[in-house]
Amino acid sequence: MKNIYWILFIGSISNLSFGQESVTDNFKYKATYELTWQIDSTDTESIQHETMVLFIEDQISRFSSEGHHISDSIQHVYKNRERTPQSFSEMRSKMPETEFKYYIDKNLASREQNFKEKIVKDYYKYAEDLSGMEWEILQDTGKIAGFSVQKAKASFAGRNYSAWFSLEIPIPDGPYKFNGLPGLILKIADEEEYYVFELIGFKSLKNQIFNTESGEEYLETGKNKFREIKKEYEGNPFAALERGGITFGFEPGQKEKMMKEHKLTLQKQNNPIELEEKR
Amino acid sequence: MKKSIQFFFLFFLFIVLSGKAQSVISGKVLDENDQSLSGATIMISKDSTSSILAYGISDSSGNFNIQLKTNLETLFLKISYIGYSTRKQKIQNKDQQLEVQLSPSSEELKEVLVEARIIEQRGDTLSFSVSAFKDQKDRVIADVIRKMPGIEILPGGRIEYQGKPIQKYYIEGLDLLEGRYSLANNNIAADDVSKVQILENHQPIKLLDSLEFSDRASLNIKLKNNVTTSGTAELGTGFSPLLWKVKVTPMIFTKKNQAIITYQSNNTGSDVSREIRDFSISDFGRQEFSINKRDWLSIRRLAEPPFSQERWLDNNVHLGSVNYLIRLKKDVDLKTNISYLNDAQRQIGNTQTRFFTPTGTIELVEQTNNDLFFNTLQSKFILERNTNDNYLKNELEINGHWDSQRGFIDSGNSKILQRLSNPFFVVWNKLRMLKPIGKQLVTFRSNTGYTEANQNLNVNPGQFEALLNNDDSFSEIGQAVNSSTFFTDNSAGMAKKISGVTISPEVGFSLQNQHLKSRLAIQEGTRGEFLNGDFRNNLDFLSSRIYFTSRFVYEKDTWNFRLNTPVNYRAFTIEDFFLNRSQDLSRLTFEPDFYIRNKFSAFWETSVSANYSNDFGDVSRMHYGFILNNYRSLQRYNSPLPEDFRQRYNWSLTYRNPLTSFFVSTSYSYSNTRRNLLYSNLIGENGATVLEAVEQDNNLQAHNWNAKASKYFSKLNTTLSLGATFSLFKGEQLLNQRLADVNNENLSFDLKLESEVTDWLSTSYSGNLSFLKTTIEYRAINDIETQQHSLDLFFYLAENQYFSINSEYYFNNISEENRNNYFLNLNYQYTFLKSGIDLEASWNNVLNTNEFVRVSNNEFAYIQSTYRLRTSQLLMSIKFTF
Repeated sequence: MKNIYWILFIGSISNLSFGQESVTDNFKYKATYELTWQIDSTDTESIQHETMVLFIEDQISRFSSEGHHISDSIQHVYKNRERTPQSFSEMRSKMPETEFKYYIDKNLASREQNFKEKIVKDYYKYAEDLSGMEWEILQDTGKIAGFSVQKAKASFAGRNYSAWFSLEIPIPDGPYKFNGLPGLILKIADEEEYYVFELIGFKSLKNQIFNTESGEEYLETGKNKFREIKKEYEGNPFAALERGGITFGFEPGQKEKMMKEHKLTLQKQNNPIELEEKR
Repeated sequence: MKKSIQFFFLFFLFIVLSGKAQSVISGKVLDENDQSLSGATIMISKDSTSSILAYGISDSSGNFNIQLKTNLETLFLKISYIGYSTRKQKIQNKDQQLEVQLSPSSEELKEVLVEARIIEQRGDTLSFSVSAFKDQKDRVIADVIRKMPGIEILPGGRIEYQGKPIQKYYIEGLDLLEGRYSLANNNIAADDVSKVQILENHQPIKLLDSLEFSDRASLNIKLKNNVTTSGTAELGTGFSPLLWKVKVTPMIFTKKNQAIITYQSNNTGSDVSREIRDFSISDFGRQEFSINKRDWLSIRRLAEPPFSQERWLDNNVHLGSVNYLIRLKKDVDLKTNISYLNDAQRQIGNTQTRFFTPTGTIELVEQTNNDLFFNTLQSKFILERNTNDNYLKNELEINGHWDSQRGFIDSGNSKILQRLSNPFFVVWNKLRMLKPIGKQLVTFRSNTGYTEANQNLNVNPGQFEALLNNDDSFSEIGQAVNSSTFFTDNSAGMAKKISGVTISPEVGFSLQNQHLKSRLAIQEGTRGEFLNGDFRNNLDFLSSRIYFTSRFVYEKDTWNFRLNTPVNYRAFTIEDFFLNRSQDLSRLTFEPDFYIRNKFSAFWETSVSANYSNDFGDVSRMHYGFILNNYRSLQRYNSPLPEDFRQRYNWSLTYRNPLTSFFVSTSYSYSNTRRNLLYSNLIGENGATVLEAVEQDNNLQAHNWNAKASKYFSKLNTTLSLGATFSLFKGEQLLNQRLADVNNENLSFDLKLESEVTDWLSTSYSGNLSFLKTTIEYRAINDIETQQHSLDLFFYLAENQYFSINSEYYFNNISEENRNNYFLNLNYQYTFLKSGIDLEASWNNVLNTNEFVRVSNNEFAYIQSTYRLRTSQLLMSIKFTF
């Protein structure tokens, strides 16, 4: 009897890993957003900017930072190139810096979105329902990047957002996890303007782009569990790395000293886009 | 779905009652082929120009459902889908069901241009940038490197990345030190380095890059400046007795020249030779002739304690090393490494050996007092040419050891003096060349070398009186050994990928000619005499091998296969002119080796390996005359050539779940060795042993099992690891002419806890409990139980100072006294933040424990060795970079 459970257990694990949908590289449109955010809510000096991209196909889309997309594309290219110190440093120098290392894959047909992120050497993902956002359409109109836009309101993950969407692009999608308006969201900001996404480019893709989907098996988890893992990692990256089978040869005290510094940095990163849901 | 409709009705009723008109407009969106379209947007407004009143998005079956509250009579409906023409129509404001078909449109969406952004250079990354990892405490690059994720520096200095040794240690892309990279690693100032790069899957040979996958990583140190002159210095002193420690390592790096020079000296027990230790990875699975120093003769040494040698080694060492690299032209490097080491060491302690013979127990106590002198000169010259279509590397190594040792043993009733001179010389040339021949890349290798050892051991008074001098005592025994070995190994091989399988065939020829000359002399007063007969050797040992081997590698998805199929033809000619003995042997052998690994889910991985191998002895296990290896051991192998046939199987299973931070792994291996020789030990009353080989088939079996588990408790900030190993070894032995089965069992358990208690205190504990059980057919022997516990506490007093306490406890159940050994060490460091100078004070062996006792066993004896430790001492040192 025990054996059966054992087999079922192993079986369910393999299902989990083979059950991932593949994102094609035939994206048709690319929307580019500028993200402006303030990581330390107490310090306006901490405002940062980063370019984010949304690739759109008929039913699916993939959102990430431009830096992350470029880094992954470069790594794909260099995978098959000669590996010399020179080419390695060349590769690394081409890889842009990014603060956001996730992908958000939305599927409009199945009304599901997957948040994917690699932590240390494990690939995690969690699924969420796309229909979670309840928009209230307002009568305000305007223009953004040459497109006519209309305003809408919704709250999401502890923040109240105002969005501007355009009927001229009839794609019910948007940056980050935002979606569900009758046109592409061209600008969205929370009340405090801690996180502001604004369209800076939109174009049809004539050529294929790199499929940055890694061939790795994703560990499927829940949103809360993922946030827990990520929090643990951010709280103590060394312990997380060690648990990942990576060993350190610290001299006594070295690790502890680094942790101290790390905690100071963490205190300044107090303003994530999704706030803890109060239950 | 039904539920929501019901809900809708209720909702609708509610709205109607509240006074405003409510209507539900639902429907389905189809494409030109009547297939449903999901993700289409349906908007309702007052007219074509006004803003939206309500909207919906079609679901996966193309359905939509829009509720709106308005008093308007008519509504304007607009249905759009990207790539299709927008449908617009007027409808009545009432509940209705619509079916809308869209047709494709070639109209393109308006585009807005993004200004091309300059890609930012990659800045600090967690894994590679030095500044991200460096803190004020770090002086040299090793301090920083060992913090980087995935990188581990082992206690000996070897660097591992993801558990595998690194392949190359480059400085600015140049491989100055080859495997002796500790010298750079421990001396380049961290401040001079901008980046440490890990080159994963690095193939150091450019020509091979696209052909041969490497699973090893290399490391590259990127310096901040084009020309870097830097160095480190450390000065220390303490008492008692007067201690000193000096280390000066200047270096210079330019684009074409690199040099590192070091001088080190101390009497604090610090091992300087670790900095010139070679960690080169020799080619996988390749039988290479060892050029390591080989001693035929020895004095009785003491077993060294298992902890840091700074607590027990009594030394006086000087080391000088010069390493120079010049880039002659593009892709051609010439490297020279020369080092000289001089060391005088002293060992004091005692060894109690309890031999279990068929007739009783022999106890032997040896109070030991040894002086060891080392004089070593090592030099290596390397020429390397590494281009995209050509690779050549020639290494010439010339080493000399002029070592000598002196030992004094008091065994109660006799006092024995041993004098040993054990020099050793080696010249070795190794060539590796890769050349494309036609479309195929061929690798040529050639290894040729010569070693020589002319060693002498003198013991007073004479030993083995019965065997050597008709039971009469004599004043001195002298053993001389002159041995030399010439070897050459030459091969050609290639690699080819055929439908996913990489096949690497290789053919080669090797030859080894060994010569052994030995004489034993006894001396009484002024009268000396060389013994003849069985006490001398004049042996020529020629072995040759022709081999053909293929290696197959296949990797797909989660599978990994590897197979080696070596076929060897070996011929041996052994002849001792003097003893008039000789033998010839030739053998054709097949020694396959197989490995499969499968990662069968995200959490599980398993591997299986099997191999079969044949080993034949060389001159050290094949000489007809006796040699006095140490004062109480005479050995000869008056027998056929040893032949061992070994089968080995291994299985492992790993589960790693990062979601729950839980890891478990287990592995089991079994090996069976069939041997044609049994070794007979004849132990005399005073522990003197005569070893001879006897022709008799026998088997050795070994089982090994181990299991490991670890779990992280996030709430407690604590990692708990548990481990257990069990090994069983079964064989036969011939002791004092009695044949017996011997079983050795070893069971051990490990526990480790690491915890970050507070911001200013972290602690770790590790414990080991192990049981050794030996069973000899004719008698039972008490189990040996040992324990080892260590507890470390680390306090952060302030940003620039720390204090640590390390304590250890050792226990064994065999010793009659000194069963329990306790140790305590204290350490304090203060850093001057501005100048970057470190001051360190350590108080080693606070409890002034003067001896360390450890117990071990072999097939027929317990050995309890007691080692005199360094006394409690205080050491202050200052460390700075320049």
